[in-house]
Amino acid sequence: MIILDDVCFAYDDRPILSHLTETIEPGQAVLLTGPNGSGKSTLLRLLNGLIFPQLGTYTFDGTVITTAKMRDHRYSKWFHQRIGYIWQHPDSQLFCSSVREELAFGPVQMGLPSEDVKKRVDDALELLGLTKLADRAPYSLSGGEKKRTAIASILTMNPQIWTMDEPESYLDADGLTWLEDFLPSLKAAGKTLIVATHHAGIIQKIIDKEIHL
Amino acid sequence: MKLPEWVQREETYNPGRDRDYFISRSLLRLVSVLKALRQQHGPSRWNVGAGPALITTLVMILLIVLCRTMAFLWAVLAGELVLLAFHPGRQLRTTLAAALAASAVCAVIVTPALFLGNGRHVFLLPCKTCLTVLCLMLLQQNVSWHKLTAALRTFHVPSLVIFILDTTLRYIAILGQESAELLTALKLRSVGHNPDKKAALSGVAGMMLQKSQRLSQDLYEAMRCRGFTGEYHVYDEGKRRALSPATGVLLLMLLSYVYLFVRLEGVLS
Repeated sequence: MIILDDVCFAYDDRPILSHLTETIEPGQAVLLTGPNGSGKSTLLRLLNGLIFPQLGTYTFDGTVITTAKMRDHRYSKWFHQRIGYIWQHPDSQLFCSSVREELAFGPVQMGLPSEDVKKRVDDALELLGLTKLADRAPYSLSGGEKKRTAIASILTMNPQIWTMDEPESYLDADGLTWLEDFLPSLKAAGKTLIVATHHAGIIQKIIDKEIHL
Repeated sequence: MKLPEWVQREETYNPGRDRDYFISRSLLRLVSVLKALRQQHGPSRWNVGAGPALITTLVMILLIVLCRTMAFLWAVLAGELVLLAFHPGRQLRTTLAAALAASAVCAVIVTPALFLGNGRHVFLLPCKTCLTVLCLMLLQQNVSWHKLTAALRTFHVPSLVIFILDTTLRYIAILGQESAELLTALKLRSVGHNPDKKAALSGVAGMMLQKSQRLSQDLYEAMRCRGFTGEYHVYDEGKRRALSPATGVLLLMLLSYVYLFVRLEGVLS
């Protein structure tokens, strides 16, 4: 469970999150809305333990997330496996030399047996229609293909909570239809979804809560 | 949509003890560079003209290099410390640390001169190094890099060179931001034991190379679309700016130091 209690965050003297109090239950689908610069991405970064509340507390499954807590390597690795982050720009997320390697990076790190890694990679490639691109370098892909690779690279880690920053960006009409189908399936599998988007339609059918910033 | 069976169950993952200091350290370094670049865009402490500041710095460095007595160096140190006293504590610490580190390196390099009977310079050269670095740091902290490159026009540096310098600064910021994001993504997905840390980091470096190549090509094409044919003209508003009080004080300081140099070094005698 995620509990944000009176969370405040500012960049220099510019307040971004102001006294935010929210609770997100496991399995919920949460929509983050608000105009550009309202703090959607900042909130996602905070939920992923990349930045920390300057006032108030962020509690994740009973543990208060602080700088000191995230310095505990064992906890921080466990935490980052539990919560996956899809970046707005896929270029910010892809760093391996091939799509297949990109997808295998997480499961290999988690120490899964090689047959499990292969199964996860193959399943994810098929699910996201990337099989033909498996040996291509991520930088040589189109925007939509990169986005799908980024989603697949998180899928293979199987996080329990998915945080997504404008997941629809770079996707074409087919990609959007696929995403509208994919998100309910994730929710049906018991995953928690926290989606920041300007196109609420992609998550509208399954939404449990809306946080307007 | 039917998800694979492994997606539908909850992961029971227990990470090992592998550490990833290399990512954290690289990230910290990058973030500090980016912070320095962002601070460059804030309002400057004193409204000092970039051209006079650049000229003052160059002349002062020349005087420091040419002087042969400690008296002039003490006078310069006094002036620089007065200017530094107006800086916030953290900036002051960074500046002094850089200057002292540079003079320590210089001291190590010139130490053999002590044993070869040229002891006087063993003290003089590290002092000169310290003052030169302080001078440059003062310039860097009080005039934005963008204004500095623009001030190069005073020295009739071709506009294309100034444009290249400006673009370089902009790309340091853009690529720095991108590599910070890539390293953060790497950190987020480094959830276990990474047997080949160098490969992951070289992947980030490779991606940055690709991005910089793409960015430069995009920029060139965008410039061509806007009529660039190889010659770059800088837009000048054509207004003559009045000398600000801070610039006046700076030029007065420069003249005083030139006078001091002439008197203390006995240039005219």
